[in-house]
Amino acid sequence: MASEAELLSEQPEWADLAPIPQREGVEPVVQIMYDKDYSDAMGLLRALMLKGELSERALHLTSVVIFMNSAHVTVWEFRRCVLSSLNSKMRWLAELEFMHEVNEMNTKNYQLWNHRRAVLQVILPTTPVERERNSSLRADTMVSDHTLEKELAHLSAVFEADSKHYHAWAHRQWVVGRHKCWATEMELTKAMIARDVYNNSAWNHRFFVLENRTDRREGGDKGGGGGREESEFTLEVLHAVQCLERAPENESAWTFLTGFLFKSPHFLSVSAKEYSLVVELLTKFCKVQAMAGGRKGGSSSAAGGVKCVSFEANILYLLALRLSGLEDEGLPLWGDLAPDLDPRAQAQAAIAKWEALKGMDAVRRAAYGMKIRIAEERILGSKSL
Amino acid sequence: MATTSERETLALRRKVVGLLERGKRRRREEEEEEGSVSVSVSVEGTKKASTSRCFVASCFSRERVEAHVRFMLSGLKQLSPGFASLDASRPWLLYWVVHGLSLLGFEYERGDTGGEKLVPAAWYPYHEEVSEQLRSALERAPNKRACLDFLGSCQNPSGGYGGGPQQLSHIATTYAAVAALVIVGGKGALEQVDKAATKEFFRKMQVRQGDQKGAFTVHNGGEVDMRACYLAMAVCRMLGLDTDFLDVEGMVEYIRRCQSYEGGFGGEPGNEAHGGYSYCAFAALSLVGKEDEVDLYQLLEWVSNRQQPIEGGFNGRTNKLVDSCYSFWQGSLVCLVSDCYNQKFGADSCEAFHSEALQDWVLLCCQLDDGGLRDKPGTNPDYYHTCYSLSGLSLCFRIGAPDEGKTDLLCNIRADKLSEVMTKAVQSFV
Repeated sequence: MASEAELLSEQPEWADLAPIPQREGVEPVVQIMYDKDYSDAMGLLRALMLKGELSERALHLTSVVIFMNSAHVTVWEFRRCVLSSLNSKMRWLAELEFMHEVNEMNTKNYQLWNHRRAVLQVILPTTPVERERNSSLRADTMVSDHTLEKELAHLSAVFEADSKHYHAWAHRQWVVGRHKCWATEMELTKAMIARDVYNNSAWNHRFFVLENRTDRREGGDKGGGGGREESEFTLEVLHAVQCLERAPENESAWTFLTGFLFKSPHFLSVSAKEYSLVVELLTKFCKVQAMAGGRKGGSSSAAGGVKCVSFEANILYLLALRLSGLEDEGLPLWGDLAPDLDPRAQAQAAIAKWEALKGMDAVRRAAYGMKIRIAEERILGSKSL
Repeated sequence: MATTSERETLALRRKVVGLLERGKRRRREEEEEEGSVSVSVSVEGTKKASTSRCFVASCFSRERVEAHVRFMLSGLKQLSPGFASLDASRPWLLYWVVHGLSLLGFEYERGDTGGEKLVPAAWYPYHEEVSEQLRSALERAPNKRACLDFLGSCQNPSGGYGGGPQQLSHIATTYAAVAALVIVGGKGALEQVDKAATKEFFRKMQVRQGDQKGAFTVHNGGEVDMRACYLAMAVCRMLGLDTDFLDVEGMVEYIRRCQSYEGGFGGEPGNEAHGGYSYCAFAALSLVGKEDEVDLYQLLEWVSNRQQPIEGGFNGRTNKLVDSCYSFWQGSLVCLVSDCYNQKFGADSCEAFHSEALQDWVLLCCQLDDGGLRDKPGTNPDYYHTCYSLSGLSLCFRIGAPDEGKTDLLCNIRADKLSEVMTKAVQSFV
């Protein structure tokens, strides 16, 4: 970085350009007292942008500014204009190296990840438009060696530092969905959940993969051989239950189970018989949890108790809604389940649990009261809310 | 064996419980000290009764309000070089400061000469006791014209506001600028907004086809996510723009696809449920009257579980740590969902979360003696967290509160400021 004596604008290569100062009112508000380097570079940049100079030195100048402020929207956008204009494959590839350096300082702002997507769209094209753009780049000398594997490895490195990094998970979903590279994703989430069973981002990614993967074999949702007939549906429930055995207060696993029970019939095939068995298993599991919690006492099991009872109440109510045809009407599964179950009795059982939860979980008392009212109006009163 | 995040959580919880105990003692002492003051105020009679629901009087002693006001004022004029990372967010800085100040009872005088100053509002509970120190700080603060001129300098002829002068228009800074205009100068100030160009800007930012149809990109070449949907709708509300010029149906469908299996919303379809995006999603739907397009029950389930029993505050995602800014994002979301149900039941608004628990978190764990509020113990106070902590606190007192004592759930500006610009009749400021 230039010392005070050698501001960029004082160097010979910028001699032809007069920096444009930032407009500031007579009485400035929320005025940032910039470092000299920063306002000098920004002054040059404004001059370049006004001139519309999309050159190599413009690219360099955006780098200088981004190292001082990686959240400057306008500078990133100008940088992409320059890159587009230079139309060089080498330049676009070098962006990943540049991003790597910027990431050394910071990985958390929208601009960084938006730029990363823009770069990948150029160097790893998937659509006809992107391919055409890619093939029209000046080839220069560098061969594209940035692969999907490298991109996913980069993300894994980010997760090493922050396993719940929101931008990085969103980016991973974008990459995986776009390039249909589903193969490693279930393993990744399994490993990350094993390492930290409370990592809700990993649970969410697991759900994303289950719901969106396009690599399921035809009729291939039957589990491994050896006479085991558990389907993907059952295996997934068992995985969550195993996690809950170790940490019964883990909300991530409970919400995953609830979501999975009511959403997965839309993307996995599951018979009414199998579904009933799983619900039965979960009911038993909750009973065991309640007994264990009663024996052990203590704060952790109390939290586990709340999560478990809340889960039971939810399942009862959400199932009752479907059995009454009030929700998710199009799915035959709910009709097939109906004969064995009584929605009104289920709703009443849910209400009893929410009444109990009002005392066990005072901070959410208002919500339990609201749920009771909802169940009364929707199922017991059968109003179409 | 406890994992890292588990250990962190436990360590923080222990710290918080300790703080809570100390904080409660401190608060009792404060109350005892202030006992004489509150008695003398209450005998003033009717004037006090009308402000008794005001959250400022309920939460803060005079010294505390003044400390927070001074903290906010420190951001209004000049900021240290360290703030360069917010160089593209200056309208946000202004919004955080003036919104926080307005919730505390400090606002610009009415009038349109431009020379108007920041003063205590008529309802400010310690009106008669403003210290000399604060009076002179208010006197030194930029006047109304300075704020309006600055915001004006961020507007681009092609529509929208950038993060500073000579910067690209961004939907987020457009929201921040318009909200700040309403707070600082009311209806008169909105005259500077080129409404036709704003509409054109939004129209250009909306995605026309493909997976993201109906969503918005935050700026030309920028990312597409949930924030932009909400921010565009909120700006339309504040400017009184009918949303017919946009593909509302497409936007609603995009939002619907962002509801995760947990019930909250992610920034994009498939992403993890998150407090900020969930607020944006449901507030955007509420602004266009399409709350029923999503699974309301699952949303209630998710958001009510974000308030944490030990800390009292809200976290942003399942199993993450509590952060005071979610006092507003999740707090107002749970209010919106609750109001939506109550409307269906034909019932009045009711308390939607545990108000005392949230107050304990914000006031005992996130408040600093020197002014300002922070994310959580161990972090420094900042304007963003001060703004959203105060917004969240005001929710605790919203039932039955007068408009000037609460924030609007959908735009997050004081409700009286919003209704002032929403009234059709032209008001002239005297």
